[in-house]
Amino acid sequence: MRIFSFTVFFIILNFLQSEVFAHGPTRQKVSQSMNVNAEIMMVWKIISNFKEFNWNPEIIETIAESNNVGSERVLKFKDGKKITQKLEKINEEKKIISWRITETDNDILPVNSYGAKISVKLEEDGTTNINYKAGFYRGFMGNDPPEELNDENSKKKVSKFIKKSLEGLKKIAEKN
Amino acid sequence: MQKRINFFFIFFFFCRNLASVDNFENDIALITNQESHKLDVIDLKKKKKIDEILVGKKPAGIIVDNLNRKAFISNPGSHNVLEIDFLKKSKKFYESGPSPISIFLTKDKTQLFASNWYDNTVSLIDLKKDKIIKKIVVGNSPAGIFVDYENNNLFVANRESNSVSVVDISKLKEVKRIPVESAPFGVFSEPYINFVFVTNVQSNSISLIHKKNLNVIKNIKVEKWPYQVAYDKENNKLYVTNQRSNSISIIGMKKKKVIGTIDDVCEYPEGIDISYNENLIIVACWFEDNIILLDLDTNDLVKKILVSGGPRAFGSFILENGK
Repeated sequence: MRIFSFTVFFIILNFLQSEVFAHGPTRQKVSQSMNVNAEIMMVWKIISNFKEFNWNPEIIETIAESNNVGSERVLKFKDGKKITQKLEKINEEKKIISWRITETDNDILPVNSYGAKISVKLEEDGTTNINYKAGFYRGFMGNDPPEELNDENSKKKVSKFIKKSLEGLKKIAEKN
Repeated sequence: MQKRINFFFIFFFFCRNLASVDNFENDIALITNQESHKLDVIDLKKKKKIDEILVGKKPAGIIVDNLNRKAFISNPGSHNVLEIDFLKKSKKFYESGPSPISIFLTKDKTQLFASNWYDNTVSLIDLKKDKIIKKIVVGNSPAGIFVDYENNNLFVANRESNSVSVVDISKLKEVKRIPVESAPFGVFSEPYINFVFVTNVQSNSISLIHKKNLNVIKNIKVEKWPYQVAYDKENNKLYVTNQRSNSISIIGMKKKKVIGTIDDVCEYPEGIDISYNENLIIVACWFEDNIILLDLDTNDLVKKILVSGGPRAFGSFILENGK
């Protein structure tokens, strides 16, 4: 019994230690999907309009050059914070768009090398499926990050941002 | 009591499933998965996953010892290297430096180099003595490594120094630091070619370093964020995975220029290796949590195979059949 207890104790200790001493930035990913009861072309029109990101309710203004690949947009948030994104790819036929963050605000999205991709497809029941994916590193790239910039918190904030964006998109698309 | 505890501790790890790779009839791809903390075992003839093995934390790098039927895996999250012996069906952990990324065996397979991302060193681990016998200071954030047995040199990509360190392995000292382009991460080569290939992530290029004169002879532009290189010895071509472009660049080594691109291979293609027995290119797709098999001649997709989560496969990961 004592041996068994010790074994269990050391197994648990092993896992705990691994977490406590875990170092090094590991690339994170977030992927969320949502079905919207709206025409696919209408949904795609909203998403592919890079100049406008008003479907995330936290963004109060989008300033952008154009909807062409290479264009940059500045997203302004309620509290004056800003994030800059660059349009990387847009495929009208496959209905896929991707962008990257070139400048972030760690209070909103504590990330490095952030890339996002949204794909839209028609479901069998006539609804439209939106898949929003992001790959990134945490806000602090060095060893021993402060809590707000660690893997867990960075992932949490990206997940929240994507969730809000998808919910906002659903609201706008289904209202039209 | 301590012995008993150790016994059970070791028993716990040895109990993990190592029964899968026991006949050695087929080529096997060994895929490190940074999110699931597992090594996935893929039978390339059957084209399916046959097993998964728990390794250390956040496994990334891998090197295979075909002769002794072993694989070594770097675990940056638990600061160690795991040896898996498929003949003895055993596992053994070796302490490395902080956050080991890339690993490479010495010619006699008794020692192992590991690059330590956070303390700017490369450890030399003696596998028999089970200890680090030397730490060699290199540039900042060392990542990919390769040992040129013929010229006794170890090449190390220093990601944050934009350079490659050359370490004389008979003296265990850095003898040259070669400037390359921006953010070098991967270093690859084979014994039968004259060049070492370096992936420069931020400048989207590959540097070719001559193994003898240790100079960069050419920088070749590829697509966004090149990660890893596989050299096709039968067709004298290089395949380069470009993470951010979701593509593979093909470089013809005769003229040393890009001769083609495979677009839309998968999302975040990373580790890449070749199975000549099965005529396949194997690519780890980090974002999609799968690996893809491409025909080596036509580059057409043969199959996608789901893996356990966050495949990196940074290094040589094909355990060739034992026939």
